[in-house]
Amino acid sequence: MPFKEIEYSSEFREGYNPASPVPDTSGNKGVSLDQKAIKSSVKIAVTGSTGKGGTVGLASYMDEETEEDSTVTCQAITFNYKVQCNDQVSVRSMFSDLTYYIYVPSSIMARIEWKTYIEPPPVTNNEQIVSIPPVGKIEEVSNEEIIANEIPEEPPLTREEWIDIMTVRREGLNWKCVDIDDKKKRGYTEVRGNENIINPMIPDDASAKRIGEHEILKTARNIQGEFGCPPYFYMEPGSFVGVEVSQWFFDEIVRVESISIKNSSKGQSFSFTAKLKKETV
Amino acid sequence: MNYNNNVRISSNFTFVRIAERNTPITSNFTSVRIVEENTPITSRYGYPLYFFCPNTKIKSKYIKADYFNSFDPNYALDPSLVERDSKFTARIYLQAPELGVEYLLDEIECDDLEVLWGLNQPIIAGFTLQNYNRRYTTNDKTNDYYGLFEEGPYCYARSTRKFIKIELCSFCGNQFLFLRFPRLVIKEVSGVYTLHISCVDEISELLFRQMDLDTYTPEETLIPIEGSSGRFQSLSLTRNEYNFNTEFLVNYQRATPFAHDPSTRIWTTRADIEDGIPVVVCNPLSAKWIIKDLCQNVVNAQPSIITKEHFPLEINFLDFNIYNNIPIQNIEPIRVIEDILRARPGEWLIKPVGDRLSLVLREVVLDSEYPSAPEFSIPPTLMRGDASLSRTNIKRVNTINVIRPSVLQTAKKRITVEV
Repeated sequence: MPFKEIEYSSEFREGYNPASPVPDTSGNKGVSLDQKAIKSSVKIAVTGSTGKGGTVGLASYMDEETEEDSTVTCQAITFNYKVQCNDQVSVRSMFSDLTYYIYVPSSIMARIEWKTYIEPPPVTNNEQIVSIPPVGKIEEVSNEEIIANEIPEEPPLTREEWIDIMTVRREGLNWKCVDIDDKKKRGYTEVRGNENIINPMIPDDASAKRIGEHEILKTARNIQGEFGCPPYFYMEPGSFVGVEVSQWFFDEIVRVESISIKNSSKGQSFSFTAKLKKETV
Repeated sequence: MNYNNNVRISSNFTFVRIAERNTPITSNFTSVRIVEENTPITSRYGYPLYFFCPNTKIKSKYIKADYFNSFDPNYALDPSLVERDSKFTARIYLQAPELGVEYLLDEIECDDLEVLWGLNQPIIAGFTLQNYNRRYTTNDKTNDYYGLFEEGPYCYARSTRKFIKIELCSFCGNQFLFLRFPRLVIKEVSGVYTLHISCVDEISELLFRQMDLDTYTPEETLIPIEGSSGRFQSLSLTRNEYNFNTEFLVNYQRATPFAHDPSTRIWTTRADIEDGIPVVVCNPLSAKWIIKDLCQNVVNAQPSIITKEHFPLEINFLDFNIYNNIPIQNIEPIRVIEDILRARPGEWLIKPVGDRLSLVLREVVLDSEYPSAPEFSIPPTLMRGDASLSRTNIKRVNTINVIRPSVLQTAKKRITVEV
């Protein structure tokens, strides 16, 4: 994406009163993008800051046009910026609270990004279409000219791996995950979640199945136990603990979700919460 | 005997007799148990024994008391009194790395300490601090605590980062174990005479801030450079380098790699590619690389005045490539990490490692993957208080669809229409 970076610094003004805040440096600026940008792709954000930092925000678009392919473009924008330079210090005393302000030199680096609008290729008559070079022709480039500027980090994919990945990329995945036991208990009734799980990052079938199983289990494991025990500091969230609670006739392995430690003059406690496995509830 | 404490062993004889030379005097305990602190095991050999048998030798098998032995599923030991009565102590420190100091807060002034440490959540801590003498909120610049009990990770007045460290020590008999939560950032300070201080761990403080960073772009359609055939400009590809996984697609068919100049981001080929044919370069980003890069950028994005210290990262899941754009605009970085983890699925944990905190990422454990034996078991007699159950009203489902959407690729194709 093309971008522009702009830096603004705070301004120290002589004669400021420590009892009142230093005025923030702010303003409104217009920037030309020097080309047609897709309006919806223009973004501005703070990418770096010093001192107390600041904010920027898009104000308006200029030179807007609707192109032939109905894309809305713009060639300039205006934006607001504000560089904060106050550090508030509070002094608490028995009789009154005093607040004063320190000037902190600050600056922000703002970055404007956009996508360049590319005009669609001109419509030509079919007769004028010249032959598209076959992809194989590109292979005529000699290997010596293919400069690998970086040392390859990752091993090359085998042909099978590549085909698998490409298949998943192009065709996607769609797995219907069913808890068979629960379905049988309900007389073969399917109870579906409100929404499907849609994630473009799922790498393979095995992960998709695990995601489905995990989501179903999350709705099944709806009982959580809280257990008090001696302060055993080898325990950490994620540990598998054997717990026996006689009044529930419960003797199971549970996984620690969180640990709560309290210590005060009134007493101390060490407890953990754990979700119970599906078959135990 | 390899333990230096004073061991005293009692043995009750059924009748009084004179111990002769090499008389086997044995005493069997009814069960093996841990010798606790001050356990009254006494022996009163009469002084006549000393006179008659001055070279008496006594053997004893002494098992060193360990830290919560009865928790270990490999030991078949009964719970002991020291385990039941075990306690812990807490100390709170104020760390100022740039000043090179670590102040131990007066224990008598600290109270109501609470620490919550869990999966997929920040470490949260809170405590109260007596401030009747104003030493913690003083305006006196010569005071050690001047400016350090303000909210936030950085003290501009003293040009240093500042953290709270909580050190807990658990005692079981004469064994002890420390658990330290360093690098906690002060999030809130309220009160005047008694300060109520809330803290969150340093990593969560960084990862839960809204950020604006460059979008992670693994795939880009190159722009042909005007007037120079076979030269294409890349604008936004994140990893602007060539490696074995780099792919070139001309009209969405795999093509031989192009020559590449990373400084200008220009890719060159000798092949004659017609205008309008999409030329795509794809440099897939590995999930681990994105997470590492994001964590580094989050630290680097802090104001320049703050010392940048990258936190340890432990990623324990099988890596995978990501082919879709990941925007990082007006979003908390932890949400991006969670999105990536959701594809495995995985979980995260902030874990203390020495004097630092680390971010641990790993796969979730499904019910079917629970181990057959626990890491440790808590005997029911050692449970403290009644265990409580809470139920959440979540709709129970047994069917769910998991979808990875397919990618729409628009290739160009010539057609001939006969009129």
